[in-house]
Amino acid sequence: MSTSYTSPVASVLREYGEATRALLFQYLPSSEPRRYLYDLAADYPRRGGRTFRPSLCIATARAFGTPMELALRTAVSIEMIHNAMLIHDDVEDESEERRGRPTMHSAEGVAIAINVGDFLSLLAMRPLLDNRAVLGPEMSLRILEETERMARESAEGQAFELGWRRDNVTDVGEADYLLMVLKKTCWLATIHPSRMGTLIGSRGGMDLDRCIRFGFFLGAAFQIQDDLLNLDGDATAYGKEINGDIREGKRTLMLIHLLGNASSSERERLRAMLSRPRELRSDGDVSWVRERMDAYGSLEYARQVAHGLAGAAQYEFQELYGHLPESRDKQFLAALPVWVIERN
Amino acid sequence: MNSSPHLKRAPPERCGPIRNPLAPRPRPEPGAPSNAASSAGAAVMGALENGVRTAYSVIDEYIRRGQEAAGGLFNNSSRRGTMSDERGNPGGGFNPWNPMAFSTEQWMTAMRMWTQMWSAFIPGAFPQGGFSPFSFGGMQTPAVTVKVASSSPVEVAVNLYAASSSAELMSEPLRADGFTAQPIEAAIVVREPGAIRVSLNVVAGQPAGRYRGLIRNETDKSVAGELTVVVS
Repeated sequence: MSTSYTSPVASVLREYGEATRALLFQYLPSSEPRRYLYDLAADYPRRGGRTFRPSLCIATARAFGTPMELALRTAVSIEMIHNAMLIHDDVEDESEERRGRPTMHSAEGVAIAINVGDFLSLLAMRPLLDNRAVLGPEMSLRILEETERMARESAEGQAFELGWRRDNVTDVGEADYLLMVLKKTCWLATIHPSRMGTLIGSRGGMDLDRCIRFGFFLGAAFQIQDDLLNLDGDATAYGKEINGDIREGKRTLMLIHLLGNASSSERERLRAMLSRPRELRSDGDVSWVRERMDAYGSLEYARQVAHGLAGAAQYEFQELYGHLPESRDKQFLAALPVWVIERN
Repeated sequence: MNSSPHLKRAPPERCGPIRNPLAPRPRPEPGAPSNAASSAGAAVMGALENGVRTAYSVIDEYIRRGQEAAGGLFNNSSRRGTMSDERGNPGGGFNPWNPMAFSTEQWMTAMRMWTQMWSAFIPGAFPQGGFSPFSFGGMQTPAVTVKVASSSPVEVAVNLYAASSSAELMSEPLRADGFTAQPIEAAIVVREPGAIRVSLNVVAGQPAGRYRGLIRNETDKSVAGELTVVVS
């Protein structure tokens, strides 16, 4: 698939990603303890990643004509929180690989990884406090309030996912899944960056709730594509173990579709597998689930839903930002719905 | 019996690549012969439409519950069905029409003073120019005069942070909410320490609305306040 114009997504991600990382590393102390804390805090940000979240924040603010400087510290905070959550997510999911290398807890132990994640999430407050110098205390306080809300929504979404897994809940429907994704993924990945970019860009002049629909559809399409790449992606490009979500028992749209369409005996076998601890799920179990997903068209189903949500995101983008003057940043935002479902 | 020796194939669904995967696909004409491709296409559209429908129901319910919760806190009578800027902004930036505005503004002022005081005690914290934690009663706001040239009625608000130094201030161009109109240029002159004059020229035909811009210290560009002009 290709877009009919030259998409600015790659160049914008590169430019804003470099700016975000450069400032992020300035916040990391160079004092002790480095081996057990500060060097490790730099590990995940140094592994690369697209810096999609901070770039969305900066580009949204700039689409209003605001200088990058005014949004950069907020973007850095978002990236710190994202990396902190990745460290903790990897522990919770018992993942072995992240961005092509061992996860932090695999290499350093669970205790140290949790501490590093705690530190990064608290360090994320420092750039928000430094916002006072460029945005003034009132808007800085507003951004702090918004960040607290985002953190709460993310924790609620993660609680759903972890609880479903722990209690082997298998009657999760599509609406349940979308609500979980709204909280767990969309608030940090797309809703909060859009809201902050809009808050900074409009100087508080726009109702931030208008960003929720756009952020939700964009983030949900993003998450479904992420889940598809886990099953269907290029192992080298993806950076995590392929089919890892099946072994984890993650409630994805594909798994929900399979549970809804499988025969009763297949459903029983699947529930039995999900009820076993992760270490007792065999390669054969994983292969069987993947083969049943293929047989019932679960991946294609999820792909179509992602396409639909991306289309809804395009519509909501026009409603939200259509009035802004044309710019590279507005083009970047407009291109995101297609980019999230085309990326590998 | 069909006398033609050639096989007849159903016409292809498309004759070119799909450039925009999000564009709606043409539906088969009523009465057209169905084929596997059409059935698969219908299934695809079904999955896509159902997915979007479910997603809209989820987000609409989520937003409705949020509005109900906010309405309970702020007793806001401007409930909205569809998204609009006319909605009040509970918990959002200062809105003079928000029934909570007075107490919110008091709280914001108290928080501003608290953060300035706190940062003065933290090593390496961003220094708040001109503030001393030992002179609680000594914060002085500069005297401000405003000179406006305008053919329309205007309302000007100058919000200088109490700890701002009055040396060399400048104003960013004042931009309208939504950035839809020509900005208003403002000049700030510091006549003497403690006395500031703000000059504005609102051109004829400037669209009505609220225009805002940050006031910065010229030397280090730190934010010193905010200038707001409402053109009627």
